Amino acid sequence: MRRIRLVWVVLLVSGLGASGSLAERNPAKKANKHQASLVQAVEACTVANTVEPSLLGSAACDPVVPSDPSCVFGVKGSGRIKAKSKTDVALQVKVKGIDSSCEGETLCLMADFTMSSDNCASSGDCTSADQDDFDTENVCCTVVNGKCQAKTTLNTAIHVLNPGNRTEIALGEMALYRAALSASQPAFRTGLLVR
Amino acid sequence: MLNRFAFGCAAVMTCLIFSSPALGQRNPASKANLFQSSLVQGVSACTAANTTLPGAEALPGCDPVVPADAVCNFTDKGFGRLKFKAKDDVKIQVKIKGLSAACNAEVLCVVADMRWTQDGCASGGSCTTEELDGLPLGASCCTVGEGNCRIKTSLVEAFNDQAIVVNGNRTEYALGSISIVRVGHFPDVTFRAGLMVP
Repeated sequence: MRRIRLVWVVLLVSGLGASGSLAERNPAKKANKHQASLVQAVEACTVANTVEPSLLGSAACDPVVPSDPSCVFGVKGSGRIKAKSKTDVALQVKVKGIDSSCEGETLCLMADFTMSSDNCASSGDCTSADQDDFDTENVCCTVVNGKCQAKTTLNTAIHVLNPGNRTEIALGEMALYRAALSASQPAFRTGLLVR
Repeated sequence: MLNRFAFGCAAVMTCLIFSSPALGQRNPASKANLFQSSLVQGVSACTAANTTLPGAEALPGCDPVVPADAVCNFTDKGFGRLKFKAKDDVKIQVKIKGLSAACNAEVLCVVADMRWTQDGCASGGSCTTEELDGLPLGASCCTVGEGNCRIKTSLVEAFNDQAIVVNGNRTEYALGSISIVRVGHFPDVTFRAGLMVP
């Protein structure tokens, strides 16, 4: 009888150890690259007055309203955001061909993200609350001759990483906003263009 | 004199209207063709924080970490990445290796939080869609075999060659979270675009 109980305990324990369902973190062996092009940020459509022409025929708003009319692409504008992780996250922002109306303005990076890390204050692993429109404050550049470039690391900009602690960062929208406005009113955001 | 003044005013107004981007004018990028990212494990949202993360910023957090999908996880050697490449269609590529044995034969698909802006709307002008969260990108899916998942398709192909992309109409997709979900398990996400600092 004792033996049967022991087997059950062993099975349960091995089951607990093998299952990912019981609060077990299963981080990727590597996840070191995130790169995205930038498109003009536009206001979300809340009261649709038309439909877009694709198969989906989704409800849409005409006209298109730039979120920040003062900072938009010029004729040959483009940009990208690059993040590469090792012991810190190297961040790179490059935008060129910005309209002259944006000259001299400061653009800063914002991101939606969630982080999971070892060694939280509770001594265990933990997941952050969703960080929406998180203002990185120090990842900024000034638009000069239509160009804006920033190069830094995540921990230089905001001290969210602790060396030696495994940290996973799930990324959502990333965008550039004008420092004079709020992070929720970006000029450019990650996306794609199809012609 | 009055005519001249009126003409001057009209010219100035016209110049202002055509030079200002404030008036519902689209200023698309000349190119925006790449989105690529590594994948990290999807975890349940933290809604009632009971601790803080390490680092001076001390973000509020929830202990324990709860994987959003109990069936499909990375093994010790697991990793994945996704890539979208845009031209006149969007090529979609996902590669995931080293998945848990329990995930074999499961179907994983790509979903995106997005809105898009397009020419040629029913109104005759350009328009922006509502924000669509967790939009499945058609049949951009794989069946997990021997711990691997591979997706290689395009937006047009994933929607069965139907007019998901209207060529000639410039379309800008503003992308938020890009995730991999297990069929039957949505809205919980198995993997999300992201990074890891070891």
